[in-house]
Amino acid sequence: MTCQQALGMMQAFGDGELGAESRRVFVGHLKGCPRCRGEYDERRRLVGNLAAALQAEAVAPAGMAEAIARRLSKERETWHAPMAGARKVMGRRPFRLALSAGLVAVLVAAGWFVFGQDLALAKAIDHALRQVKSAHFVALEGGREIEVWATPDAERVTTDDGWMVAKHGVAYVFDARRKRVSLTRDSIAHLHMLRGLNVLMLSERLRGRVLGKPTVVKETITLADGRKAIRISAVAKARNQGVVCDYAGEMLVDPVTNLILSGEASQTVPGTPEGGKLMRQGRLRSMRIYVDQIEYNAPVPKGVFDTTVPRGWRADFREQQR
Amino acid sequence: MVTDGELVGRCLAGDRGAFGEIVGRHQDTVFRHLLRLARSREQAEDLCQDTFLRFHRALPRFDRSRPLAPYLLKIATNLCHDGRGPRLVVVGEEEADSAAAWSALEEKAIVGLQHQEVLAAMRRLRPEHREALSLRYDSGLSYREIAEVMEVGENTIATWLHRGLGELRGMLRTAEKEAVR
Repeated sequence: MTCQQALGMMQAFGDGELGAESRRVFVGHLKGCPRCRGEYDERRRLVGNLAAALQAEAVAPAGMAEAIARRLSKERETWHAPMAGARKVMGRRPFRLALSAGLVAVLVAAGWFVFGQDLALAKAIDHALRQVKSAHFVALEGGREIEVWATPDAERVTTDDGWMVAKHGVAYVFDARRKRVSLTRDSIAHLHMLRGLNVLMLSERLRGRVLGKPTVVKETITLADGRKAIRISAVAKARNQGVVCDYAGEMLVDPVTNLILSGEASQTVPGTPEGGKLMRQGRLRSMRIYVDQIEYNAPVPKGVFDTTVPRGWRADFREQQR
Repeated sequence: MVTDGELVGRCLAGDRGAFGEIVGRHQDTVFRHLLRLARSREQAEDLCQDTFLRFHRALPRFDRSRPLAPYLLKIATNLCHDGRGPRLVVVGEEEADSAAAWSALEEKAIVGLQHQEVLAAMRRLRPEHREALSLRYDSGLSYREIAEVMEVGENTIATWLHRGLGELRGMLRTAEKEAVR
């Protein structure tokens, strides 16, 4: 073995990654070569120093285990929370909503389920949402009205107001006067389009963090006009901009066309950092989103999507916030 | 001593204390790993909690015959690189040959060389070199396990370790020379 070869094997030898035969040859060379022996000793010292420094660097903060235990215990509660949570969040007066609010909740759940919890359901949600080409949302947050238009087309867009959509979608955010909502750099809000879906979801990665396992129920129901529909309901809790929010909602999917018929839901979620601030100050309890326009990828039978937004919903919402 | 696999079994049987024991055993390793990846200490703390919560959900899927540390570090790395969710890759099929020849070296540490100097030099390394060195010499993972955590080939890991150590040595030599002057 030459010194060059020995140098090439030195790292793997020291790390215990060399095979028995190579090890034997390497050790044989080392014994007869003071130069390689010196090099090896120097590397040993370096690695020893490094390992000692790394292992002495830090320990997990005190209370880590307790914090994890607390969060686990909360998760267990959430896991067993049935649809009662949804009713509580939705309040007594059921709003006849369009699409979005329900989907936010459903998507939180869908995102979860996509990662192995219930692939069949995730696929069903995914399929239904893929039929949507674009959607126009109107949202009320505190005293402010926000318009959102979303499509699944763009890969990644950062608008100049600071709102950003990561992957698969784009959302432009305007205030009621069609002026871009102004946000500071610090308050950049990210809206995440999940797997090409064109409905907004506050991403776990960013300000929101799903707590526990969302409860999702899928069932077939009969509508007032006799049609059958699949109802997908979801309840989830998520930490969003420092506030624990409830997401709840349901959407109806036509079992024949697989198109989304409508949604009915509510959520307590600050959609923007300003909303988060208001919520922390106790001045905002929830945010409502209505979809008033929806465009599908294929022609749809008339009346599939009912865009009727209840009259007086803005006043109703503001009343709730008082 | 109870093995990690046995503790996982007890967790699955409903023993809540067993999970606490797992956390106690591995929290420092996971936290230090995250400290080197995360943007801030606060983020590392959050991600450390998230790592164990995610592991808790994955308990039924965890193969108890495999080592736990690489699995946790893989979750931690995934969380750090991609907050959207776990991209769990099954790690190491066998225990690495841990009888590394570098072992038991601390007593031979260079006199006068402080930990802080080493850590300061570490921070100046390229992120992938830093992560590989940390996984090898702090977490004690084999090349194969590191390769699976970092999602690159074993040869790449060997190269990164070699280059990382080389650069580290160069920086420490420079620091020593400056200290002598």
